[in-house]
Parts: sequence; C-alpha cells; structure tokens
Amino acid sequence: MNCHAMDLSCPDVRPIKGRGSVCVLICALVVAILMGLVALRLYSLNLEYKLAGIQRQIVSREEEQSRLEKDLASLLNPSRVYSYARSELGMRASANLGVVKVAGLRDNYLPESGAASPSVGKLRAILTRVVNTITGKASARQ
Amino acid sequence: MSRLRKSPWFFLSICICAILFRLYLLQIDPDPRVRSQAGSQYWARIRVTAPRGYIRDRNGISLALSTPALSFFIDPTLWDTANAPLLQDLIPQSRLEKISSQIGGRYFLIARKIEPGTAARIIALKLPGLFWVKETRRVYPQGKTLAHVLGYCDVDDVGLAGLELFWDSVLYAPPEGRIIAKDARGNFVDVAIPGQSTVAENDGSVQLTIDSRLQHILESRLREGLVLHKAEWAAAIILEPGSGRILGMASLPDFNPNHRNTFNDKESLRNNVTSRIFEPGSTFKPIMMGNLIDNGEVSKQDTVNCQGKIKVSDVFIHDIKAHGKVDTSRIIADSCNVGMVVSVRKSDPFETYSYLNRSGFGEVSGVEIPGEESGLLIPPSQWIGSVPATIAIGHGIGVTPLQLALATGAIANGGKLMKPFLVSEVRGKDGSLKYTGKPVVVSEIMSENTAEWLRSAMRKAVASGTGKAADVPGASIAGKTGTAQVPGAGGYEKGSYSPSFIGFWPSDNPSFLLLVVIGNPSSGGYLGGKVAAPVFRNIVQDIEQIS
Repeated sequence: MNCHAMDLSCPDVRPIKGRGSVCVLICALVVAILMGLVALRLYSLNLEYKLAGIQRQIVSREEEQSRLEKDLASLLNPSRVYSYARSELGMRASANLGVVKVAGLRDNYLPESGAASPSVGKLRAILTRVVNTITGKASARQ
Repeated sequence: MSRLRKSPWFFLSICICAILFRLYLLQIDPDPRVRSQAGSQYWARIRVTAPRGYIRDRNGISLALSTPALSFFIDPTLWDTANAPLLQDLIPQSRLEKISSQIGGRYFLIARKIEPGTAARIIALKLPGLFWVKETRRVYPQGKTLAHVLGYCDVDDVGLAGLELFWDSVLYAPPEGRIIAKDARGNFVDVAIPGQSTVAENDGSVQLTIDSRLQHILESRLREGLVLHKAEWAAAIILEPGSGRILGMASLPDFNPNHRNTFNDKESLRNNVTSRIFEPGSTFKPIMMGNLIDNGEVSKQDTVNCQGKIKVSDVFIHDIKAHGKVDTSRIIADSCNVGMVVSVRKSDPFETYSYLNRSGFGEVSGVEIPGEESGLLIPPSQWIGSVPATIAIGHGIGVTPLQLALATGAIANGGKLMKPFLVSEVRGKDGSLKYTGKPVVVSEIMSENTAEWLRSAMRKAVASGTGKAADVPGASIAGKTGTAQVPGAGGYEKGSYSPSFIGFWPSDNPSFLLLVVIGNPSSGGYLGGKVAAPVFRNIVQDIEQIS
C-alpha cells in the first residue's frame, strides 16, 4: 500500500533524486580532479624530462669546456711551441745574438697577466690586452 | 536517511573512498620495505669524485686541471663471462681475468678514470651488465714541466706531493654521492634529480708566480747541460731578488705526473731545489765576505799573498793556482781559497754562526711547497780546527739551492733576506680569496754599501774572473762560480763534484737572480766556470730574447 492509494499526502521524493544527482556530481568531480592530477603529473614528467635534457646539455658543455681548456693549455705549452717552430717552421737560433736595451723600459720585464706596472702608460696596458686577445693568450680569457 | 543508505550511490561513494584511502596508503605513505625495494629498482647512489681546483701560471695558463673521465663497472648478476674477451686490451689484465669467471655481488669496478678514446670503444661494445659513471681525472697538460713543484695526486684525486699536497685543502673537493636512475632495462641513466646538482662546483684555484716560458727555458737548457756532462742530477732556480718571487724552478731527473710508471725512480721525485742538500763551494764566498766587511774584520783595500795553498790546523787548503797578491775584490773574482781562509782567521765562530743563521741557513725558508730541507749548519761549539776556514770556502756546510739563491739575493737587493714565494693567489672552493703571496723581508743581513760593493766584485768575477763563460754582452751579469767536492762516508768522494754558478743581472739594479747546479758531472770537466757557467749563459740569452 502506498500513500497515493490512501489519498494521503505523500512525502516528496525529489530530495532523494536530488541527493543522487549530487553524488553523481561529486563522483564526476573526483574523477575530474584525479584526471587533472594525472594530467599535471604527466605535465611535470614532461617538464622534468626537458629539465634533464637541459642539464645534460650543461654537463656536456662543461665537459667540452674542460677538454678545450686542456687543449688550450697543451697548445700554449712553450715546449710544444718551441719544438714546432724548430721542426715545422725551421726556426734557428741566431749566431750573432745581440741584446739591445731601451732606456726606461727596464721595469717592464715580463708584464704579469697582461697588467702593466704603474710606470707603464694606459695606452701600453690597452695594447697589451689587445695583443693578448689577438694572439689568444690565456690571460685574455680572464 | 535509511533511503539514502539503500541508494546505490551511497555504496559507490563508500567504494571510491576505500579506493582513495588505499591509493593514499600505497602512493603517499607506503610501507618502508616497499619503498626500499622500489627505490633499489629505479635509483642507485654512487660515489664519484668531484673536480679539483686549477693550478695556473702567472699568465693564467693551466698547469693542472681536472677533465671528465669514465669509470666502468659490471653488475655480476647481469654479466655474461663469455663477453670478457671483448674487453681485452681495454681494461687492466687483472680485472679482465676476474670478470672472466663468475663473481658475487652486484658491483665490480673494472676500469677507473680511463681515456675518452678507450671509453668510447668500451661503450660501443654495448655489453649487457656493463655500466659506467662519469668522474674527473687530474691532468697536467704541460707534462713534465714544473712537475716537482706541481706534484701529483692519487687515483681518488687527493694531493700526494708538491702544490697538490700543500694546497689540498683548497684544491680538493670531496667525493659526492650522486643518485642515478635506472631505466626499464636496468641501464644507469645520469639524469637530473630535483635538488641535486649534476655538476659539482669547485672554484678553488692556485695561481703561481712561475712563468711557463721561463720555466721551459730553465728546464730545456738545464737538461742540455745534464746530458752534455752526463751528470747525476741538476737544479736551477730563477727569482726576483727584490721581492723573493720565484719565476722558475727546475729539477732533474724529473717525472711526468700524467704517467705513474715514471714515479718508480725515487731520485726523479726529489725536488733538488728545495730538498737537495749540497756543499755550495765558492758560491758561498760572497755571502761570507759580506759579514767580514760589515764586521770590520776585512777592509775592501786589504791584500793577501796567495801561494796556492795554506795550512790550517792539520790540513792544507789548496787553490787551483797561486794567485799572488790579491785584494779583497779579486778574492771574490778569482775565487781565491787562500784569501778567504786568511780573511776569516780572526772571525768569531758564534757571531759567524749567528750571521749564517740570519741569512737563512740551517732553517727552512717557508716556501709554499712541502718537503723543504733545512740544510746542515753545525753549531759553533763544534767549529774547531779547520772548520771555520772550510765553511768560509763553502765546505762543511750543507745548503739547499733555494737557500743559497735567497742569501745571494740579499747581495743583489741591498742586504735584505726575502721570504721566497711561488704562489701569488689562492682562491677557495667558493671563489673567495684565501691567500696572497707578497714580498716579506725576513732580515737585513748586510749593509747596502757592502751589498753594492759585493755586486761590483761579482761583476768582476764574470767580466775578468772565473765566471767569464757566463758573460752575456749587454746583460751586465754579476756572478760567482762554485766547485764543491761531494762528501761521502768518511770524507770527500774522489772525483765527485757539484759545479755551480750563481748570478744576477743587470748588476747595478738586478731584476733576475739565477742559480745553476750540476750534480756529479762525469764528462766535459767539473769546474763551475766550465760546466755550470755555460748553462747559465744559455739561459740568460734565451730570457733576454723574450723579456
């Protein structure tokens, strides 16, 4: 027997139907959130992959720089330069070697790291740097 | 409410909640055993060496640096012993024999820090169970150049000798634990891990006062002298007398820090400039004369009649020839033993000992490399009989070439004993400045006037005395020859000498001081003026061309 047969006022079933819809909505929302999380995870994996790729490139460049630095140091080795000049370019020591000293330049023996002493003018310091840059001297890199 | 409980959605919600809770347990807070098991499948933590700091010369040229290298290991559970012969000649034989048979464990190192070319060949084999990891290897691009000063490291990049040892606290970077990933096939993949740098940073560096070009000249000319005279050893040092800055230091025989098989000969590992004690002979006379003049025991106008030999206590001290009547400057210029013996007769042993001690003899100089010897300076209480006389001519005292160069440097710079330094700047791992080498006056051992007079006397020794072979026209060299007998058990060894030449130029205001010692030459003479002076001249000529 139901309330309609007894002509009684029936309680409205709509609220129950409404709760069901809410549940569906909640489920859909949970699924959407989960899918969103999965999508975000995939996105972060993709970013991590890209980051790993970039860091691999950094490492690779660093290694290349180390190798180049080693090659540079080997190429600047005076022993190698001297033997190359003698064997390949035919350099010979002069038989009648003479030393000419210009007055006022005595303090300029072996200027250190391209930096001229205070007594040397600015122009000379600039020239030293330019020559170092052109000749690829190591100090030019600093 | 009861209807709600009967609704299928309610049960679905309960199920979803249960699944979410289980997911939480599995993914967010798993059992530690599960976490450990999963971790071992995908990640591995290994120890790898980080790069050491640089050592550079005064012009910034790298003398020691770390370059990438690969180390190979196998996982014995995945390794097929039948593949071992493929690694023939690529890895050490002892390791090859080991992996040719079954071994236990999960990790076995087969080759450490090998050359990139060989590494590429091993990788190309694509052997299952063979893995590799990146490390760094210490390289000395200039080979033997400055080997004794630079020193060397062990296979773990810990400094063992030379500057590598002395500045290990700055240069050495401890091994880092690197986490590496495994792919689905179990191969190690060196990938970025969040929060972990893949590149170890080390900005530590040691910059030297050494000039590679001068060093090359020094070594090549010294080697020529060593070969020409078939000598056992040789040493040379060039420095700025005014500051104590060392510009070059050569020692022979030498070794190549890149090749460990050259380390076998102990003599080749010794730095003859700082760790070899020898009797200086006549190169010591100007230093002794400086004290005698300053004390008023000898005047510059005094004369001595040299008959070629003189008896002191129970021994005769000889000269190479009778010099006749010589004044004080000619005693230096002609290297007159009799003149020196007569000059020191009245000197007080305690005062002379004190002077020699102030001149840096009998003590280490404090140069920034390990293994420096202090020399042999016997206490004045033992200066009996002929001892004071023999010390005056450079015998009965043991010095290192560095000590002799510094004391003679005092003559060149006006009387000041300088502390030597060959490191101009040291930077820590973070790039901060840790040390700066600068001129330090240790003591004033003689007056400026005496130093100036000695410079002119030493100039005479080169212009018209025993050191003519060292003269270079235009360079105005002042110097002194030395020929010392080599002491052995129970006396001096017959036919064994240490010829040397020490000089500086220009004589009026010296910029460079150079000492050359040739140990035990067996061919082409034995006198300092004949053996060491020509080597000195060749070095000066080469330096003058580039300066």
